Amino acid sequence: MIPRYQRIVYWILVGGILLMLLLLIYGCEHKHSRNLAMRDESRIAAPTDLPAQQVSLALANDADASIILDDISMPLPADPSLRARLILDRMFSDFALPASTHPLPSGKAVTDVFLLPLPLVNPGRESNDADAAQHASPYGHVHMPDAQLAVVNLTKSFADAHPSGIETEDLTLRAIIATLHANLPQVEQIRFLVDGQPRPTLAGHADLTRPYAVIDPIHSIHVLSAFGNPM
Amino acid sequence: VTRPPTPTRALLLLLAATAVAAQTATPPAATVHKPKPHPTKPLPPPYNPNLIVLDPAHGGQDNGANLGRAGAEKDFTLAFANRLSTLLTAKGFTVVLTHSDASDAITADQRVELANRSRAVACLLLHASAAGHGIHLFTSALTLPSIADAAHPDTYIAPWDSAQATSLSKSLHLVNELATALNGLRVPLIVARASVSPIDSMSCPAVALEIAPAAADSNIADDTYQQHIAESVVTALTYWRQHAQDQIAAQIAAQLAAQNPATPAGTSPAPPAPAAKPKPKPKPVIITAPDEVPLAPDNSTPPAKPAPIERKPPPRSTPPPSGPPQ
Repeated sequence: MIPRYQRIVYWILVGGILLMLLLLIYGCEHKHSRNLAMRDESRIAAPTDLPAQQVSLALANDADASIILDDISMPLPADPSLRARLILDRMFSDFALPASTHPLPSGKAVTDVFLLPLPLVNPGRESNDADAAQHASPYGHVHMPDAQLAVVNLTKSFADAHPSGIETEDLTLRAIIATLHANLPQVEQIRFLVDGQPRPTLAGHADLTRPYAVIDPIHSIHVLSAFGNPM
Repeated sequence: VTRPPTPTRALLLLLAATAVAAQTATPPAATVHKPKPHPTKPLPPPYNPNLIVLDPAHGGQDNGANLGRAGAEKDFTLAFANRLSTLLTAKGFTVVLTHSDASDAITADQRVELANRSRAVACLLLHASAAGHGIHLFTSALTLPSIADAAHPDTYIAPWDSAQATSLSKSLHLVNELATALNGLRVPLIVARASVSPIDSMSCPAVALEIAPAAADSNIADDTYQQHIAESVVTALTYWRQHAQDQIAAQIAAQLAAQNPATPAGTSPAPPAPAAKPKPKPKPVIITAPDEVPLAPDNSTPPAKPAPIERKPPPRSTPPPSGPPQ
């Protein structure tokens, strides 16, 4: 016959063991989720002696389809094309973080960014400023004197792995446009390529066949005239 | 003096006699040159208020997004289009689907051609996505036609890749109707503008409807969720049809008034009512769509009887028969 007090102690010990077990499981899961949230698969920046500069990165949010600009400091070279590519690399590495509000696949997203002067003219043709101005407004568009077209060359692996959907693809394009517009104000239009080739859509929805005019990238993009392609 | 030979002289005499006869002939009656009055034929409406075009996105080799347990996007959108088509048909709509089989490989241009030929009152592009939450409504990111184009709507020809610009104001009204109806579902609702193929080429009022899971822990394949969305869309399109019918009636009356200036706008050409029952003063006709799609004259349409124009208030106060769930 087991005394009553021993049975009480026994069940109290069993309850304590179960409680400790539950606390242990909860603590492990909590720590695991925190580790996942803080996992940063972005590439480690190489040491450089370039001066750090203030840049603006567009942060997209799938919950409300919003874009906000966040200022950070990072070393940047003087070449505008290289600057644009590094800034976009940093933006996409932020999007690849597990806690991102606009989750995108990790890895290299942008191969190159080319900056071309606007309006685009035939390089084999002799043209003066008047001719260039004439070319500038065949559809009623007037470019700024130092206006540029940015050609963003995305990688095929990034485009193939991008989440498919109108909203998420549109937000990615808007984030690129807003980031370039904030850091390179001379960029007026942006065209997208994938591995150097034109592609109909990013991941099945967002149109990549037309250039995007950088008018108000936060609220509205792809402001085309009724004449269609303004190029 | 050498005289011409006899046959030539006879021919000259005949020509001279003909000319003299033509000058001295009595002119025909003046009524011959009087232009006949044109019959008052109203122009056909720019769209059929009962016709809806549903375009389930993707198909054939193009599976669209991977929706997890809900399968491929092309299957989901087609199933939702069939569900929506059933509800719309029950409400008296005529529904045209761009394709009826998920294995149909239909191009974007083929979808646009079908939609533009049908002259539908609304075109819905159905999409689905596993990214984001709730319902996303998109209209074209094109801008409105320029002022110069709007000043000459009869001669303006919209380019193929930006035909939606002429119907953009109607598309924005339509998306407002849809947003109002879908707002009662208590799920995240996003209304934005994006360039999604082939919405920019559609000349009808067009909206892309993208369905995403209602929340992080919910499934897009939930039958109740889809049914609620479909019912809300039908409610919005019912209001939109009523609005379109009012616009068409006002348009016909305005055309008749322009062709018969003696008849005040909004009055019926029927014989006047007896003196014991004086008619109320006709209300002025107000066309609420100044950016109407230019109408193509079609004389083959029989003249329609002008209906008295009464601007009825929209039936917002009456609860819809199948309203969104609370």
